[in-house]
Amino acid sequence: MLGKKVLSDKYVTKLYTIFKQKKWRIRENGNYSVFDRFCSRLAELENDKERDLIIELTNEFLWIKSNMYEEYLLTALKMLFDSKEWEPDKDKNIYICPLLPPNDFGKLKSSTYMLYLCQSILMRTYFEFQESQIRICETPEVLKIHQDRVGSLILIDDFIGSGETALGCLEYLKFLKDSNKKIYIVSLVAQEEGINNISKENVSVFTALTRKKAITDTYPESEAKEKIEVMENISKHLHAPKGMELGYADTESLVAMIKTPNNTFPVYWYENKKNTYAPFVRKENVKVIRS
Amino acid sequence: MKESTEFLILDTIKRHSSIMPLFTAGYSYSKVIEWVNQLEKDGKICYNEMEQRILSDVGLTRWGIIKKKKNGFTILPLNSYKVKKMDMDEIYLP
Repeated sequence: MLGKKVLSDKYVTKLYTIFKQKKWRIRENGNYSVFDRFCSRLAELENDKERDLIIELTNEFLWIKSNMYEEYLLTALKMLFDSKEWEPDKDKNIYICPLLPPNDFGKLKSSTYMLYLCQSILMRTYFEFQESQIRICETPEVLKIHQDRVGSLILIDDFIGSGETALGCLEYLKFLKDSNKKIYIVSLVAQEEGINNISKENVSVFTALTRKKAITDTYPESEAKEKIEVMENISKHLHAPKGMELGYADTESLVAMIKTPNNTFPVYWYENKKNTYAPFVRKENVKVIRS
Repeated sequence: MKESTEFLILDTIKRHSSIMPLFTAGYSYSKVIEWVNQLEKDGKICYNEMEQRILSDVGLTRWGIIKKKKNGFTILPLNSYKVKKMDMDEIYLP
């Protein structure tokens, strides 16, 4: 058993029901299954009011595992290709690039993983991938050299939260916008708030799934206020980083991908020496080293 | 499921109307809940009006059968370590 406190039957059973409904595995090959970690996290909460809130929110939780990425990418690209806004320049190439701000260039990010998916056989079921010339760029830096050849640019990522990363990338790519190149953003999942922030730059976002703020956009105002307070208490009790009590930029996200974005409520991902195991942990003990 | 595991679950529920003692004892949540789910599907565990887990008639019968098996054996030394019974007139020389 992970952690010192023990979760009651009632909550173990409720969580089990959710896992079964969502077809999430209960047991894993390793010793620290997501289910066990989740139970430990619920046991650690201060009272049943907090547990009831987390159980309620978890019913809406979205966990996109790596084996689901291709399907979601195909759906998001279909949204783009079926859209009236999709007007690629026929004489030039379609460029696909990860949605990265300058400080993330060269890092191993989910958007770079998605570049590989763009080469898949299933992508060729779309006319654009079958007939057009597609150029896949490792980072936006490459676009500076190729800018004259860019007909349309598709920036891809797996998740858009507040939109800050996208805005950082678009700021870097100002040289393309200034030369009226068509830029589109494709993401597997996006928070509505992020889409709205990006649209202010006259760039459209195409996704397989759009998500609202889990509490503020879902409950009536007085009920939302109460639940926000409960969630803030949970985050404080877990010693979550300041300013992240409702997820980064108060995004109130209920999403986990290959990694869990910090826009998601910390109760689902935050761990430190003072608290137990988070179900969808996001921790710095696994790091990529570069030459 | 091993018989010993089945008895562990049934006995815990019979005594406590709860599986929580198993978590306290150190069994993982995932293993216990899957065992319990299997026994529920088999009709051995049901719920009372207070939504607590209890043993059904089938579960009680099964509990009784396994319990008898558990009490129906004697722990003996291995045959190779058994000492032959001596007569009254025999002298024991180790």
